[in-house]
Amino acid sequence: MRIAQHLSGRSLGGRVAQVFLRLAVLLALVGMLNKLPKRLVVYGPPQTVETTNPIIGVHTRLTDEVDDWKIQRTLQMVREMGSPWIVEYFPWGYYEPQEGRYQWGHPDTVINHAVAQGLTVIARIDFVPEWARPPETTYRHLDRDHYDDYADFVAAFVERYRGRVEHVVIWNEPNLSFEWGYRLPDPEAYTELLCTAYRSAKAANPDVQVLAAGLAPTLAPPGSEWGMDDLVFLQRMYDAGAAACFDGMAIHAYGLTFPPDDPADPQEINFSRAELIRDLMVRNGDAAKPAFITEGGWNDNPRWTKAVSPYLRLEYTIRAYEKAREEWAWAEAVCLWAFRYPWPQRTYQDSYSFVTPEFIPKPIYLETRNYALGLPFEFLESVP
Amino acid sequence: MAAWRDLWTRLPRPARCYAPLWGIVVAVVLGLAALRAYGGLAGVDPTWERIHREGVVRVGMDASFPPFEVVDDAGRFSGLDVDLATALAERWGVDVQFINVHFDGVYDALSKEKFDLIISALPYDRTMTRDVAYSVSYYDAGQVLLAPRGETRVQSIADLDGGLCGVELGSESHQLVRRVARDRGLTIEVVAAREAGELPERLLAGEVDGVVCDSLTAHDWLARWPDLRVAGGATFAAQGETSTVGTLSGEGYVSGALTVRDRVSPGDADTPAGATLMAEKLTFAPDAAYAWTWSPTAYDMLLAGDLTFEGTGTVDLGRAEGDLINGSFRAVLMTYDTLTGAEHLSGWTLVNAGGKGYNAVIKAENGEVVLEYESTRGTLMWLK
Repeated sequence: MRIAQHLSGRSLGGRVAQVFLRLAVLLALVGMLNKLPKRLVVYGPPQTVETTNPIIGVHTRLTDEVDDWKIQRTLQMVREMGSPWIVEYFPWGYYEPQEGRYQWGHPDTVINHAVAQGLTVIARIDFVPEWARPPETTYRHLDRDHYDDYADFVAAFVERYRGRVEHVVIWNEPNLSFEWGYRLPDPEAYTELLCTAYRSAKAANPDVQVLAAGLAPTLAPPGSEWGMDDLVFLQRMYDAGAAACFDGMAIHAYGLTFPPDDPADPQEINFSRAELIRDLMVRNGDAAKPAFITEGGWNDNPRWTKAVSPYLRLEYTIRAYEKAREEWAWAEAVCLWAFRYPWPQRTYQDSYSFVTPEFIPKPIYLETRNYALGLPFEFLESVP
Repeated sequence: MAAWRDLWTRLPRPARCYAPLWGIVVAVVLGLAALRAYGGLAGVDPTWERIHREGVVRVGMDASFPPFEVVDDAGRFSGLDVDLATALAERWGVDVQFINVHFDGVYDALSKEKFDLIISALPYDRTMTRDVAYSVSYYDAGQVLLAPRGETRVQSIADLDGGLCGVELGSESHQLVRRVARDRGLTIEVVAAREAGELPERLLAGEVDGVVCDSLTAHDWLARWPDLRVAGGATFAAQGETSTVGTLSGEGYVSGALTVRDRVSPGDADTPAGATLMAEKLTFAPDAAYAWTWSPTAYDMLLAGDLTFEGTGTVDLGRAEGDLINGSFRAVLMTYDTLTGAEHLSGWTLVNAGGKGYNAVIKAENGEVVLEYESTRGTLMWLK
């Protein structure tokens, strides 16, 4: 009865009790509202990659993948294919939309899932935010005035992901004008960018391996407004002092219509062109540095003139992984383009993928998995 | 290619409105172009002005995708898109210049004004519509099901339940059939051929019940194996013949002479506005309907060579009661090279237009069948 009187507020004590009771209910409600929703997709226990070829890798394409479960499923499938390596693209402009304000949610998700699946991540970093470039320029346009801004982001990235990401690629294909903001490719300027980023990355995480950008294999003639020969570009990088500014070399090794054993030739673009990049490294005193194939492979679109049939793509891909393991001791990883797109591109780009956006494994996936796990081939008639 | 060229020359001038910009043409100024289509701002299109001031239209393409665009060693461009660009330039009274760029950089090159248009088998990409304006699509390169002409049982993929379907190993068709079978619970044994070219003979020999391939391949095979047919759709059923069908729907090109009894429908029920159907010789039987889907940004189009109306008919907007279009517009429903039976058009009416409250005139002029639509519904306003 007295309790009832207290709660009814007919006495001073009752009013105080009522206030406390209301406060308690309010706090409980606020507490419930503030409670973070439980993750629907958990990272799960750490996995390991089973494979007979530890340099197998793929370039994933999770940058624009939104759903946690799709990110996780993609990386699970990479692991199940027997691929310990991935390259993933981390656009600076996505994660630092305002200077000094970072948004790490998406890269956290991707990297944590990758690590949980036992994958080694090579992070490619570029894409200039609007605040770091002049108006009416493309997201590949970075002026010298903002090299430090880029380097600051790289430093923040490698510091945050220390122990989870130990390889970063500085920029992408700077020998193409498209990738250089539709300006003429400039090896000396890129070297300056590389060195600036290298110093910052190493200061933030001395263990990180900084990789020079994979160059686009191209035979562009001198003076072309569209690009510069990759071998010429790389030599000019060395001449500008790049050797002191990277720990490893990213290489793009596309086979186009040629088999993986087609010999290297400066006047031809094929898978073995990677050996010419390697030779150039050796000639410039960088024999001790490893290389990483961060893009490459074959396309099987029925119309693109630079593609092969799906069957040949199977043969060439398996042989390429095998060739790199047997003959390229300097290659730590061979990451082929591209594991899966978040949605159909509806162009020949779709014919580079291993898995459809709906997670249907293509024969290239199944046969790579069979190869990596030492299982009999399903489609190939013999071991390439 | 000549038939295509004839059709392209019927294209309306782009200065008139946005939607009938034929081909996969990307303009640079979406806002002004789109507004003009609806009688809005009479703005200046700087691209259009520059083209006429300099007397040349610069067309960007990745010339590695036959039959749309290729370039030979001498730098000569050819293909469907090249014909289209040439026809547009002729119509506009300017020269045409082709610029070959890699597909990856084609949008950025447009934004940097390296050229005026992209015509490069370019698919519509809704994520790009803030920056560029697309024409309606002019070709559907999707997958089709082939069956022997002598049998009629196979009309859709569902008819292959319990049967055998031929595909090229690892092709888009291969993934599609597996996905459709999975999603619809069909039991289809997929026969994956190492070489696509062996599939027509295997189909005609009865080794498989159907073959799925892309529509370009189907065009090629139908010409070489006349005993093949496209199942489940009239789009190709009239290939090279004189035929009468109940309904003509889908996207693509119909050669031969075709009479439609009931309904002509660019696209189909699941296709958003903007579908394009092309026909060499098309006749609307008396009381036939033309299903025309409209949205504020796109509408369907029929592009005919010889067009005949045997009587009056209806234009079916497919809109629910109450879903009336507000405002006024003039739109091109169809284009033609020659027209027979134009006198019947005055008796054509709109149906399923969302209710009453409009005036509509359907008439033929200057190679086009146009709809002039004017809403007569008032709007109430009051002050609070």
